[in-house]
Amino acid sequence: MALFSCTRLGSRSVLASLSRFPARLNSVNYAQAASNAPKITFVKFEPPKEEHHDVRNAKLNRPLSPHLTIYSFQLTAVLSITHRATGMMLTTYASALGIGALVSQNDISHYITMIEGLNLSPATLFLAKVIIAAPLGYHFANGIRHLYWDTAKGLSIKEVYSTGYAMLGAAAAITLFLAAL
Amino acid sequence: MPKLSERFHKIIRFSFRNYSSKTETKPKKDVDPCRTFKIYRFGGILSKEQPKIQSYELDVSTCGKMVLDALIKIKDKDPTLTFRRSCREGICGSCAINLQGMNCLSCITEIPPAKTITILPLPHMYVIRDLVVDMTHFFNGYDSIRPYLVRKNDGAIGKTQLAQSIKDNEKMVGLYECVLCSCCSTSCPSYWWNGRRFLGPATLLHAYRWVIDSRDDDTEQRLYELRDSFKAFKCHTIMNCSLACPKGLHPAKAIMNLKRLISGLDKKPVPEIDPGKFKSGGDSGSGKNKKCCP
Repeated sequence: MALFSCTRLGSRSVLASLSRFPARLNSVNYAQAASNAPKITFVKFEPPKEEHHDVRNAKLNRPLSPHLTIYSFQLTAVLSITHRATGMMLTTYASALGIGALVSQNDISHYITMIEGLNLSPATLFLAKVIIAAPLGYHFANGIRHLYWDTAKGLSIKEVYSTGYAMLGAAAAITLFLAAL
Repeated sequence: MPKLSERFHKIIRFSFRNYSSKTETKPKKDVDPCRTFKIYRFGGILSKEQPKIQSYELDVSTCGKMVLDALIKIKDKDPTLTFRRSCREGICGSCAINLQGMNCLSCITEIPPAKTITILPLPHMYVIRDLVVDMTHFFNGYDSIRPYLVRKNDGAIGKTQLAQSIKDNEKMVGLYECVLCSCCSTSCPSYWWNGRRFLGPATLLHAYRWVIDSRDDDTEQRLYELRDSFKAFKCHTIMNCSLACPKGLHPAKAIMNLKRLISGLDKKPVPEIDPGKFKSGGDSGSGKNKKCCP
């Protein structure tokens, strides 16, 4: 009999069965309050609200670990970001030429005559042409490397580094060729 | 049938860490064993303090040669230092940290021969405390690619063995060894900026692993689920991932193969052996007619 009572207690909380009788519950509460027993309230289960990861962490005021400032620069990442930067520069070239042609009153030959009028030394002119052609040379050579990767070839670390250096050489060659024109 | 030694070498190759070319050519010089460890400290959100870098002096000849050994030795002196660790052999992926600017597993990375050693948590992750970061969205991304076998017409998975040829099994070498340490994903700048929608190299490596598994039937649906501009195609082949992987795996190559499969340029090859080969027809698996050796 005692064992049976113990198992009854273990399988379901005695107070849970009490809560099915509201009148009885009130008296139990008074009894509990009087005896300083811990007060147990029963709340319907609510699954935790799904919050976006960033929202939850922002609410918790957690700091973000450092990334760009601390991560060591590898050739792979540097070449990749330069590819993006040169792409943006080429876009500005194209936009400048396009919008310039639209808004300027004169033909482009006018501006070329203006630059010729500055009488710069051939060395300075060559240097200026190298600087302007550099994004094009780099982006073109790296673009070919990217297309090579799209065939799923040349993706091992060793090949990425060796094609990377080869690409830098090719970019320099294209730049010098364009500047010499 | 490829030679046993060839297969052995292929598997061994993946156990080596991929280092960038510069560290291999430097000659070994003797560094004073008394090193300075600069470790990122943050007391947690209730401590109301700002994250800072704390310096510890340690004689590395008094501890084991891995970074985890040094961290444990420092913790003996300063018990408030908090970091994750479990297996101490590079198989659980708990102890991923950023060491000297590169992500690695502290239990299998030797203490570098430098006077000052900087230890930071994984980049661009919310810091819970010191070197412990919140990995929730990383694991949610992994769960979203359904990393389990899906068979279409089998009654119940697990009743019979699924057949797979050795060549098909070798396709998964270099993919199944991933321990989800997130060294690669947290080294990827694309994952830093787009981490909520871009899945990251680790998850994409696993997605590829399930796609090319010859026993899996749900390839079309798996590839269809990856067809948007963020999940897989935010990879710009920056290749920081393959450099960071402490197990020597190659996420960049797997992602490129996966992209080709998603876009339809490549097709998943037909399995060499039918995976349902060992299913005896009409037998519900009573065991009487099953052959133990084919």
